[in-house]
Amino acid sequence: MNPEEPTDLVCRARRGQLRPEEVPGFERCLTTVPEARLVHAILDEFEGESRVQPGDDTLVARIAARAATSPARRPRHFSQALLTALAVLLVGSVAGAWSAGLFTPSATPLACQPVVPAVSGSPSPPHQRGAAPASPGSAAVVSVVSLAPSVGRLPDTAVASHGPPADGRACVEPACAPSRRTSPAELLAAANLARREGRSGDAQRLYRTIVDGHAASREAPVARLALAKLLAGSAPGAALAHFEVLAASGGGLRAEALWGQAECARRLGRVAMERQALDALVHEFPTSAYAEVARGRIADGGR
Amino acid sequence: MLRLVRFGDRSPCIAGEDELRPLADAAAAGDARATRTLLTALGPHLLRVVRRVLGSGHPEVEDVTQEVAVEIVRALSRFRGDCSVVHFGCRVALHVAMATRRREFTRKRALPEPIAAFDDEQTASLRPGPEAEVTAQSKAALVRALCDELPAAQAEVLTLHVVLGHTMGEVAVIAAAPLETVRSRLRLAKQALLARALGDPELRELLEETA
Repeated sequence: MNPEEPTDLVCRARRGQLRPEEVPGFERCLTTVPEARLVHAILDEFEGESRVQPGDDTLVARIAARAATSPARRPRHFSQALLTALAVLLVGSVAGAWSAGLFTPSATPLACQPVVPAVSGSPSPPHQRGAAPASPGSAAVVSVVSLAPSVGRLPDTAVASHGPPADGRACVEPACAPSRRTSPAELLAAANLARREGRSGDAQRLYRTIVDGHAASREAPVARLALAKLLAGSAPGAALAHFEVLAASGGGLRAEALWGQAECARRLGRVAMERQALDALVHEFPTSAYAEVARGRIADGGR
Repeated sequence: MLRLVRFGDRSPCIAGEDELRPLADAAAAGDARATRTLLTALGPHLLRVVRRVLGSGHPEVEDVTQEVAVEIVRALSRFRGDCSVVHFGCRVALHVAMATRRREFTRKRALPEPIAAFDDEQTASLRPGPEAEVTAQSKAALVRALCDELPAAQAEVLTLHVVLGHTMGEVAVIAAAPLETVRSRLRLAKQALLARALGDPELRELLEETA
Protein backbone atom coordinates (compact mmCIF):
# COMPACT_ATOMS: atom_id res chain seq x y z
CA MET A 1 0.00 0.00 0.00
CA ASN A 2 1.35 3.45 -0.91
CA PRO A 3 1.87 5.93 1.92
CA GLU A 4 -0.65 8.74 2.00
CA GLU A 5 0.16 11.66 -0.30
CA PRO A 6 1.20 14.81 1.61
CA THR A 7 -1.38 16.83 -0.30
CA ASP A 8 -4.10 14.37 0.77
CA LEU A 9 -3.11 15.09 4.33
CA VAL A 10 -3.50 18.81 3.61
CA CYS A 11 -6.98 18.27 2.15
CA ARG A 12 -8.11 16.29 5.19
CA ALA A 13 -6.52 18.73 7.62
CA ARG A 14 -8.40 21.63 6.06
CA ARG A 15 -11.66 19.79 6.66
CA GLY A 16 -10.72 18.98 10.25
CA GLN A 17 -10.60 15.24 9.55
CA LEU A 18 -7.16 14.50 10.98
CA ARG A 19 -6.87 12.13 13.92
CA PRO A 20 -4.85 13.55 16.84
CA GLU A 21 -1.93 11.23 16.08
CA GLU A 22 -1.81 12.55 12.51
CA VAL A 23 -1.45 16.22 13.44
CA PRO A 24 2.34 16.20 14.11
CA GLY A 25 2.87 14.41 10.80
CA PHE A 26 0.82 17.08 9.03
CA GLU A 27 2.80 19.89 10.64
CA ARG A 28 6.06 18.22 9.67
CA CYS A 29 4.75 17.77 6.16
CA LEU A 30 3.99 21.49 5.85
CA THR A 31 7.53 22.45 6.79
CA THR A 32 9.36 19.83 4.75
CA VAL A 33 7.25 19.26 1.62
CA PRO A 34 7.08 22.34 -0.65
CA GLU A 35 4.24 20.82 -2.65
CA ALA A 36 2.09 20.49 0.48
CA ARG A 37 2.82 24.13 1.39
CA LEU A 38 1.84 25.23 -2.08
CA VAL A 39 -1.44 23.30 -2.09
CA HIS A 40 -2.21 24.58 1.41
CA ALA A 41 -1.70 28.19 0.28
CA ILE A 42 -3.73 27.68 -2.89
CA LEU A 43 -6.65 26.08 -1.04
CA ASP A 44 -6.54 28.97 1.43
CA GLU A 45 -7.07 31.46 -1.36
CA PHE A 46 -9.81 29.43 -3.05
CA GLU A 47 -11.69 29.05 0.21
CA GLY A 48 -11.55 32.77 0.79
CA GLU A 49 -12.89 33.39 -2.68
CA SER A 50 -15.82 31.00 -2.51
CA ARG A 51 -17.22 31.94 0.89
CA VAL A 52 -20.98 32.25 1.16
CA GLN A 53 -22.09 35.71 0.14
CA PRO A 54 -25.15 37.72 1.16
CA GLY A 55 -28.01 36.89 -1.17
CA ASP A 56 -26.76 33.39 -1.94
CA ASP A 57 -29.92 31.82 -0.49
CA THR A 58 -32.09 33.90 -2.81
CA LEU A 59 -29.84 33.07 -5.73
CA VAL A 60 -29.99 29.34 -4.99
CA ALA A 61 -33.77 29.45 -4.56
CA ARG A 62 -34.14 31.25 -7.88
CA ILE A 63 -31.88 28.80 -9.69
CA ALA A 64 -33.65 25.78 -8.16
CA ALA A 65 -37.08 27.14 -9.06
CA ARG A 66 -36.10 27.82 -12.65
CA ALA A 67 -34.37 24.49 -13.15
CA ALA A 68 -37.19 22.52 -11.53
CA THR A 69 -39.76 24.06 -13.85
CA SER A 70 -37.68 24.13 -17.01
CA PRO A 71 -38.51 21.20 -19.24
CA ALA A 72 -35.50 18.91 -19.34
CA ARG A 73 -34.43 18.62 -22.92
CA ARG A 74 -34.23 15.21 -24.41
CA PRO A 75 -30.82 13.93 -25.40
CA ARG A 76 -29.72 14.95 -28.87
CA HIS A 77 -29.52 11.39 -30.14
CA PHE A 78 -33.17 10.94 -29.23
CA SER A 79 -34.12 14.00 -31.30
CA GLN A 80 -32.06 12.75 -34.23
CA ALA A 81 -33.70 9.35 -34.03
CA LEU A 82 -37.11 11.01 -33.91
CA LEU A 83 -36.32 13.15 -36.95
CA THR A 84 -35.07 10.13 -38.86
CA ALA A 85 -38.18 8.15 -37.95
CA LEU A 86 -40.38 11.05 -39.10
CA ALA A 87 -38.49 11.28 -42.36
CA VAL A 88 -38.84 7.55 -42.98
CA LEU A 89 -42.56 7.72 -42.18
CA LEU A 90 -42.92 10.67 -44.50
CA VAL A 91 -41.21 8.93 -47.39
CA GLY A 92 -43.21 5.79 -46.72
CA SER A 93 -46.49 7.73 -46.70
CA VAL A 94 -45.63 9.48 -49.93
CA ALA A 95 -44.57 6.26 -51.59
CA GLY A 96 -47.74 4.57 -50.38
CA ALA A 97 -49.94 7.39 -51.60
CA TRP A 98 -48.13 7.43 -54.92
CA SER A 99 -48.49 3.71 -55.44
CA ALA A 100 -52.17 3.86 -54.43
CA GLY A 101 -52.73 6.45 -57.14
CA LEU A 102 -53.86 9.27 -54.88
CA PHE A 103 -51.68 11.84 -56.63
CA THR A 104 -52.46 12.67 -60.23
CA PRO A 105 -50.77 15.48 -62.14
CA SER A 106 -54.10 16.82 -63.41
CA ALA A 107 -55.73 16.97 -59.96
CA THR A 108 -52.78 18.32 -58.06
CA PRO A 109 -51.05 21.62 -58.85
CA LEU A 110 -47.30 21.47 -59.33
CA ALA A 111 -46.70 23.05 -55.94
CA CYS A 112 -48.62 20.28 -54.22
CA GLN A 113 -47.01 17.34 -55.96
CA PRO A 114 -45.22 14.83 -53.77
CA VAL A 115 -41.55 15.21 -53.11
CA VAL A 116 -40.41 11.87 -54.39
CA PRO A 117 -40.83 12.28 -58.12
CA ALA A 118 -39.84 15.93 -58.02
CA VAL A 119 -36.58 15.12 -56.28
CA SER A 120 -35.67 12.19 -58.41
CA GLY A 121 -35.94 14.48 -61.42
CA SER A 122 -37.83 11.93 -63.46
CA PRO A 123 -41.49 12.03 -62.53
CA SER A 124 -43.09 8.68 -63.22
CA PRO A 125 -45.63 8.84 -65.94
CA PRO A 126 -49.16 7.81 -65.00
CA HIS A 127 -48.72 4.31 -66.43
CA GLN A 128 -45.83 3.60 -64.04
CA ARG A 129 -47.67 4.65 -60.91
CA GLY A 130 -47.55 1.23 -59.41
CA ALA A 131 -43.74 1.13 -59.54
CA ALA A 132 -41.45 2.22 -56.71
CA PRO A 133 -39.86 5.68 -56.94
CA ALA A 134 -36.80 5.79 -59.14
CA SER A 135 -34.44 6.94 -56.42
CA PRO A 136 -35.75 6.42 -52.90
CA GLY A 137 -32.37 7.08 -51.33
CA SER A 138 -32.11 10.59 -52.64
CA ALA A 139 -35.74 11.25 -51.76
CA ALA A 140 -35.05 10.25 -48.17
CA VAL A 141 -32.07 12.57 -47.95
CA VAL A 142 -33.99 15.54 -49.26
CA SER A 143 -36.91 14.75 -46.99
CA VAL A 144 -34.66 14.86 -43.95
CA VAL A 145 -33.21 18.18 -45.01
CA SER A 146 -36.51 19.91 -45.73
CA LEU A 147 -38.42 17.82 -43.18
CA ALA A 148 -42.04 18.63 -43.80
CA PRO A 149 -43.85 17.80 -40.55
CA SER A 150 -46.59 15.73 -42.18
CA VAL A 151 -47.91 14.62 -45.53
CA GLY A 152 -50.29 17.56 -45.38
CA ARG A 153 -47.35 19.94 -45.50
CA LEU A 154 -45.92 18.41 -48.66
CA PRO A 155 -47.00 21.29 -50.88
CA ASP A 156 -44.88 23.65 -48.78
CA THR A 157 -41.86 21.46 -49.24
CA ALA A 158 -42.42 21.48 -52.94
CA VAL A 159 -42.82 25.24 -53.00
CA ALA A 160 -39.63 25.65 -51.03
CA SER A 161 -37.75 23.46 -53.48
CA HIS A 162 -39.17 24.74 -56.73
CA GLY A 163 -40.18 28.37 -56.26
CA PRO A 164 -43.72 29.77 -56.46
CA PRO A 165 -46.64 27.57 -57.43
CA ALA A 166 -47.21 27.11 -61.13
CA ASP A 167 -50.68 28.54 -60.95
CA GLY A 168 -49.35 31.78 -59.50
CA ARG A 169 -51.09 31.49 -56.10
CA ALA A 170 -49.25 33.17 -53.27
CA CYS A 171 -47.94 30.82 -50.61
CA VAL A 172 -49.78 31.58 -47.39
CA GLU A 173 -48.92 28.44 -45.42
CA PRO A 174 -47.21 29.14 -42.09
CA ALA A 175 -44.44 26.74 -43.04
CA CYS A 176 -43.29 29.26 -45.65
CA ALA A 177 -42.72 32.00 -43.06
CA PRO A 178 -38.99 32.54 -42.43
CA SER A 179 -39.46 32.69 -38.64
CA ARG A 180 -40.65 29.08 -38.67
CA ARG A 181 -37.23 27.97 -39.83
CA THR A 182 -35.62 28.80 -36.48
CA SER A 183 -36.91 26.90 -33.53
CA PRO A 184 -37.85 28.69 -30.28
CA ALA A 185 -35.12 26.75 -28.48
CA GLU A 186 -32.49 28.06 -30.91
CA LEU A 187 -33.87 31.58 -30.62
CA LEU A 188 -33.79 31.36 -26.82
CA ALA A 189 -30.19 30.15 -26.85
CA ALA A 190 -29.23 33.02 -29.17
CA ALA A 191 -31.08 35.52 -26.99
CA ASN A 192 -29.42 34.26 -23.82
CA LEU A 193 -26.03 34.49 -25.48
CA ALA A 194 -26.74 38.05 -26.60
CA ARG A 195 -27.81 38.95 -23.05
CA ARG A 196 -24.68 37.41 -21.55
CA GLU A 197 -22.50 39.30 -24.01
CA GLY A 198 -24.22 42.56 -23.11
CA ARG A 199 -26.05 42.98 -26.45
CA SER A 200 -29.25 44.01 -24.76
CA GLY A 201 -30.97 45.26 -27.92
CA ASP A 202 -30.37 42.00 -29.79
CA ALA A 203 -31.46 39.99 -26.76
CA GLN A 204 -34.70 41.96 -26.46
CA ARG A 205 -35.45 41.56 -30.17
CA LEU A 206 -34.91 37.79 -29.99
CA TYR A 207 -36.95 37.38 -26.80
CA ARG A 208 -39.76 39.36 -28.49
CA THR A 209 -39.59 37.09 -31.53
CA ILE A 210 -40.17 34.10 -29.25
CA VAL A 211 -42.93 35.80 -27.24
CA ASP A 212 -44.78 37.05 -30.35
CA GLY A 213 -43.96 34.37 -32.89
CA HIS A 214 -43.96 31.26 -30.74
CA ALA A 215 -46.40 32.17 -28.01
CA ALA A 216 -47.48 28.58 -27.48
CA SER A 217 -43.97 27.17 -27.19
CA ARG A 218 -42.55 26.13 -23.83
CA GLU A 219 -39.75 28.66 -24.29
CA ALA A 220 -42.20 31.58 -24.47
CA PRO A 221 -42.72 32.09 -20.68
CA VAL A 222 -38.98 31.96 -20.02
CA ALA A 223 -38.36 34.43 -22.85
CA ARG A 224 -41.09 36.72 -21.52
CA LEU A 225 -39.56 36.68 -18.05
CA ALA A 226 -36.10 37.45 -19.41
CA LEU A 227 -37.50 40.22 -21.61
CA ALA A 228 -39.41 41.72 -18.68
CA LYS A 229 -36.26 41.70 -16.54
CA LEU A 230 -34.28 43.42 -19.31
CA LEU A 231 -36.97 46.05 -19.67
CA ALA A 232 -37.48 46.59 -15.93
CA GLY A 233 -34.63 49.09 -15.63
CA SER A 234 -35.38 51.26 -18.65
CA ALA A 235 -39.10 50.74 -19.30
CA PRO A 236 -40.86 49.58 -16.12
CA GLY A 237 -44.28 50.11 -17.71
CA ALA A 238 -43.56 47.67 -20.53
CA ALA A 239 -41.90 45.25 -18.11
CA LEU A 240 -44.92 45.41 -15.83
CA ALA A 241 -47.21 44.37 -18.69
CA HIS A 242 -45.04 41.28 -19.33
CA PHE A 243 -44.88 40.40 -15.63
CA GLU A 244 -48.67 40.70 -15.40
CA VAL A 245 -49.18 38.31 -18.32
CA LEU A 246 -46.76 35.82 -16.75
CA ALA A 247 -48.33 36.08 -13.31
CA ALA A 248 -51.80 35.64 -14.78
CA SER A 249 -50.75 32.52 -16.67
CA GLY A 250 -49.64 30.83 -13.44
CA GLY A 251 -47.07 28.06 -13.66
CA GLY A 252 -43.66 27.77 -12.10
CA LEU A 253 -42.64 31.33 -12.92
CA ARG A 254 -45.56 32.98 -11.11
CA ALA A 255 -43.57 33.75 -7.95
CA GLU A 256 -40.83 35.43 -9.95
CA ALA A 257 -43.42 37.28 -12.05
CA LEU A 258 -45.22 38.55 -8.95
CA TRP A 259 -41.97 39.82 -7.54
CA GLY A 260 -41.16 41.57 -10.83
CA GLN A 261 -44.66 43.03 -10.87
CA ALA A 262 -44.19 44.42 -7.35
CA GLU A 263 -40.81 45.92 -8.24
CA CYS A 264 -42.08 47.60 -11.41
CA ALA A 265 -45.23 48.86 -9.69
CA ARG A 266 -43.02 50.36 -6.99
CA ARG A 267 -40.89 52.16 -9.58
CA LEU A 268 -44.02 53.51 -11.25
CA GLY A 269 -45.47 54.65 -7.91
CA ARG A 270 -48.47 52.30 -8.14
CA VAL A 271 -48.67 51.51 -4.44
CA ALA A 272 -51.91 49.51 -4.53
CA MET A 273 -50.65 47.23 -7.27
CA GLU A 274 -47.34 46.69 -5.48
CA ARG A 275 -49.17 45.76 -2.28
CA GLN A 276 -51.47 43.39 -4.15
CA ALA A 277 -48.53 41.58 -5.76
CA LEU A 278 -46.65 41.33 -2.46
CA ASP A 279 -49.74 39.96 -0.69
CA ALA A 280 -50.21 37.35 -3.40
CA LEU A 281 -46.55 36.38 -3.13
CA VAL A 282 -46.75 35.92 0.63
CA HIS A 283 -50.00 33.94 0.50
CA GLU A 284 -49.25 31.71 -2.47
CA PHE A 285 -45.53 31.13 -1.93
CA PRO A 286 -45.02 31.49 1.83
CA THR A 287 -41.80 29.47 1.82
CA SER A 288 -40.24 31.06 -1.24
CA ALA A 289 -37.16 33.23 -1.03
CA TYR A 290 -39.21 36.23 -2.17
CA ALA A 291 -41.86 35.84 0.53
CA GLU A 292 -39.54 36.83 3.33
CA VAL A 293 -38.51 40.04 1.57
CA ALA A 294 -42.13 40.68 0.62
CA ARG A 295 -43.22 40.34 4.27
CA GLY A 296 -40.59 42.85 5.30
CA ARG A 297 -41.69 45.27 2.65
CA ILE A 298 -45.35 44.93 3.62
CA ALA A 299 -44.39 45.58 7.24
CA ASP A 300 -42.51 48.70 6.14
CA GLY A 301 -45.61 49.91 4.36
CA GLY A 302 -44.07 49.44 0.94
CA ARG A 303 -41.06 51.64 1.64
CA MET B 1 -14.44 -2.25 -4.60
CA LEU B 2 -10.81 -2.13 -3.50
CA ARG B 3 -10.96 1.62 -3.81
CA LEU B 4 -14.05 1.95 -1.64
CA VAL B 5 -12.69 -0.31 1.08
CA ARG B 6 -9.37 1.45 1.14
CA PHE B 7 -10.73 4.96 1.35
CA GLY B 8 -13.94 4.17 3.12
CA ASP B 9 -12.74 5.59 6.41
CA ARG B 10 -11.69 8.85 4.83
CA SER B 11 -14.75 9.68 2.80
CA PRO B 12 -17.86 8.80 4.73
CA CYS B 13 -19.89 10.90 2.37
CA ILE B 14 -19.02 8.52 -0.45
CA ALA B 15 -19.12 5.19 1.30
CA GLY B 16 -21.80 5.89 3.88
CA GLU B 17 -25.53 6.50 3.69
CA ASP B 18 -26.41 9.30 1.31
CA GLU B 19 -29.28 11.29 2.72
CA LEU B 20 -29.96 13.02 -0.59
CA ARG B 21 -30.36 9.75 -2.48
CA PRO B 22 -34.14 9.38 -1.91
CA LEU B 23 -34.64 12.96 -3.09
CA ALA B 24 -32.49 12.29 -6.15
CA ASP B 25 -34.53 9.17 -6.96
CA ALA B 26 -37.80 11.08 -6.63
CA ALA B 27 -36.43 13.91 -8.76
CA ALA B 28 -35.28 11.43 -11.40
CA ALA B 29 -38.83 10.05 -11.44
CA GLY B 30 -40.09 13.52 -12.36
CA ASP B 31 -41.25 14.85 -8.98
CA ALA B 32 -40.93 18.63 -9.41
CA ARG B 33 -41.07 19.35 -5.68
CA ALA B 34 -38.27 16.85 -4.98
CA THR B 35 -36.23 18.34 -7.82
CA ARG B 36 -36.55 21.79 -6.34
CA THR B 37 -35.66 20.61 -2.84
CA LEU B 38 -32.70 18.67 -4.15
CA LEU B 39 -31.40 21.62 -6.14
CA THR B 40 -31.85 23.91 -3.15
CA ALA B 41 -29.80 21.48 -1.04
CA LEU B 42 -27.14 21.15 -3.73
CA GLY B 43 -27.14 24.84 -4.62
CA PRO B 44 -24.46 26.06 -2.18
CA HIS B 45 -22.14 23.23 -3.25
CA LEU B 46 -22.70 24.03 -6.92
CA LEU B 47 -22.13 27.74 -6.36
CA ARG B 48 -18.93 26.94 -4.49
CA VAL B 49 -17.59 24.83 -7.35
CA VAL B 50 -18.59 27.35 -10.02
CA ARG B 51 -17.08 30.23 -8.05
CA ARG B 52 -13.85 28.36 -7.49
CA VAL B 53 -13.49 27.38 -11.13
CA LEU B 54 -14.60 30.67 -12.71
CA GLY B 55 -13.71 33.12 -9.94
CA SER B 56 -16.25 34.72 -7.64
CA GLY B 57 -16.28 37.95 -9.66
CA HIS B 58 -16.99 36.23 -12.95
CA PRO B 59 -20.06 37.74 -14.64
CA GLU B 60 -21.47 34.35 -15.63
CA VAL B 61 -21.50 32.69 -12.21
CA GLU B 62 -25.30 32.75 -11.98
CA ASP B 63 -25.89 31.69 -15.58
CA VAL B 64 -23.38 28.85 -15.33
CA THR B 65 -24.87 27.64 -12.04
CA GLN B 66 -28.27 27.70 -13.68
CA GLU B 67 -26.88 25.65 -16.55
CA VAL B 68 -25.42 23.22 -14.01
CA ALA B 69 -28.79 22.83 -12.30
CA VAL B 70 -30.50 22.06 -15.60
CA GLU B 71 -27.74 19.58 -16.49
CA ILE B 72 -28.18 17.84 -13.14
CA VAL B 73 -31.93 17.50 -13.68
CA ARG B 74 -31.23 16.04 -17.10
CA ALA B 75 -28.52 13.68 -15.86
CA LEU B 76 -30.31 12.38 -12.75
CA SER B 77 -31.88 9.48 -14.61
CA ARG B 78 -28.36 8.24 -15.42
CA PHE B 79 -27.09 8.55 -11.83
CA ARG B 80 -26.26 5.06 -10.53
CA GLY B 81 -25.14 5.93 -7.04
CA ASP B 82 -21.41 5.28 -7.62
CA CYS B 83 -20.71 8.37 -5.54
CA SER B 84 -22.77 10.62 -3.28
CA VAL B 85 -25.36 12.93 -4.82
CA VAL B 86 -23.35 15.95 -3.67
CA HIS B 87 -20.25 14.65 -5.42
CA PHE B 88 -22.28 13.85 -8.50
CA GLY B 89 -23.60 17.41 -8.55
CA CYS B 90 -20.14 18.82 -7.96
CA ARG B 91 -18.75 16.84 -10.86
CA VAL B 92 -21.46 18.13 -13.19
CA ALA B 93 -20.74 21.66 -11.94
CA LEU B 94 -17.04 21.14 -12.49
CA HIS B 95 -17.52 19.99 -16.07
CA VAL B 96 -19.90 22.78 -17.00
CA ALA B 97 -17.73 25.46 -15.39
CA MET B 98 -14.54 24.08 -16.93
CA ALA B 99 -16.19 23.93 -20.34
CA THR B 100 -17.19 27.58 -19.93
CA ARG B 101 -13.62 28.55 -19.05
CA ARG B 102 -12.18 26.59 -21.94
CA ARG B 103 -14.63 28.18 -24.38
CA GLU B 104 -13.59 31.60 -23.10
CA PHE B 105 -9.93 30.67 -23.32
CA THR B 106 -10.33 29.51 -26.93
CA ARG B 107 -12.30 32.63 -27.82
CA LYS B 108 -9.73 34.94 -26.23
CA ARG B 109 -6.89 33.16 -27.98
CA ALA B 110 -8.65 33.49 -31.33
CA LEU B 111 -9.12 37.25 -30.91
CA PRO B 112 -6.24 39.49 -32.03
CA GLU B 113 -4.49 41.44 -29.27
CA PRO B 114 -5.87 44.99 -29.05
CA ILE B 115 -3.35 47.54 -30.23
CA ALA B 116 -3.00 50.26 -27.62
CA ALA B 117 -2.30 53.81 -28.70
CA PHE B 118 1.42 54.52 -28.37
CA ASP B 119 2.32 57.08 -25.75
CA ASP B 120 5.99 57.71 -24.91
CA GLU B 121 5.37 59.12 -21.44
CA GLN B 122 3.01 56.38 -20.40
CA THR B 123 5.19 53.55 -21.64
CA ALA B 124 8.29 55.04 -20.04
CA SER B 125 7.12 54.99 -16.47
CA LEU B 126 3.58 53.99 -15.64
CA ARG B 127 3.01 50.73 -17.47
CA PRO B 128 3.74 47.72 -15.26
CA GLY B 129 6.38 45.41 -16.61
CA PRO B 130 5.77 41.71 -17.23
CA GLU B 131 7.38 40.77 -13.91
CA ALA B 132 5.03 43.02 -11.99
CA GLU B 133 2.07 41.55 -13.87
CA VAL B 134 3.13 38.04 -12.90
CA THR B 135 3.55 39.11 -9.28
CA ALA B 136 0.10 40.66 -9.28
CA GLN B 137 -1.50 37.42 -10.45
CA SER B 138 -3.13 35.58 -7.57
CA LYS B 139 -2.51 31.92 -6.79
CA ALA B 140 -6.07 31.13 -7.77
CA ALA B 141 -5.68 32.85 -11.13
CA LEU B 142 -2.45 30.95 -11.72
CA VAL B 143 -4.13 27.60 -11.10
CA ARG B 144 -7.10 28.54 -13.28
CA ALA B 145 -4.82 29.60 -16.13
CA LEU B 146 -2.91 26.35 -15.83
CA CYS B 147 -6.13 24.31 -15.91
CA ASP B 148 -7.12 26.07 -19.14
CA GLU B 149 -3.98 24.79 -20.79
CA LEU B 150 -3.61 21.29 -19.33
CA PRO B 151 -5.20 18.27 -21.04
CA ALA B 152 -8.82 17.98 -19.84
CA ALA B 153 -8.27 14.80 -17.76
CA GLN B 154 -5.32 16.33 -15.89
CA ALA B 155 -7.17 19.60 -15.42
CA GLU B 156 -10.13 17.73 -13.94
CA VAL B 157 -8.10 15.89 -11.30
CA LEU B 158 -6.01 18.96 -10.49
CA THR B 159 -9.17 21.01 -9.97
CA LEU B 160 -10.79 18.35 -7.83
CA HIS B 161 -7.67 18.03 -5.67
CA VAL B 162 -6.12 21.49 -5.51
CA VAL B 163 -9.12 23.74 -6.14
CA LEU B 164 -11.91 21.80 -4.44
CA GLY B 165 -9.78 20.05 -1.82
CA HIS B 166 -10.76 16.40 -2.43
CA THR B 167 -8.35 13.64 -1.50
CA MET B 168 -7.09 11.35 -4.22
CA GLY B 169 -9.45 8.57 -3.16
CA GLU B 170 -12.39 10.93 -3.46
CA VAL B 171 -11.12 12.21 -6.78
CA ALA B 172 -10.99 8.62 -8.07
CA VAL B 173 -14.59 7.99 -7.03
CA ILE B 174 -15.89 11.33 -8.31
CA ALA B 175 -14.04 11.11 -11.62
CA ALA B 176 -14.97 7.42 -11.94
CA ALA B 177 -11.34 6.54 -12.72
CA PRO B 178 -8.94 3.98 -11.21
CA LEU B 179 -6.89 5.34 -8.33
CA GLU B 180 -3.57 4.72 -10.09
CA THR B 181 -4.77 6.61 -13.15
CA VAL B 182 -5.76 9.53 -10.94
CA ARG B 183 -2.41 9.37 -9.17
CA SER B 184 -0.55 9.46 -12.48
CA ARG B 185 -2.65 12.33 -13.91
CA LEU B 186 -2.24 14.29 -10.70
CA ARG B 187 1.52 13.75 -10.67
CA LEU B 188 1.82 15.26 -14.15
CA ALA B 189 -0.53 18.11 -13.30
CA LYS B 190 1.36 18.89 -10.08
CA GLN B 191 4.65 18.95 -11.99
CA ALA B 192 3.17 21.56 -14.30
CA LEU B 193 1.83 23.46 -11.29
CA LEU B 194 5.23 23.48 -9.58
CA ALA B 195 6.91 24.65 -12.78
CA ARG B 196 4.35 27.44 -13.08
CA ALA B 197 4.71 28.36 -9.40
CA LEU B 198 8.48 28.68 -9.74
CA GLY B 199 7.87 31.46 -12.26
CA ASP B 200 5.93 33.45 -9.67
CA PRO B 201 8.18 35.32 -7.20
CA GLU B 202 5.79 34.99 -4.26
CA LEU B 203 5.16 31.31 -4.80
CA ARG B 204 8.82 30.59 -5.43
CA GLU B 205 9.54 32.09 -2.03
CA LEU B 206 6.86 29.88 -0.52
CA LEU B 207 8.33 26.80 -2.16
CA GLU B 208 11.87 27.62 -1.08
CA GLU B 209 10.96 28.21 2.56
CA THR B 210 12.75 25.83 4.88
CA ALA B 211 11.96 24.78 8.36
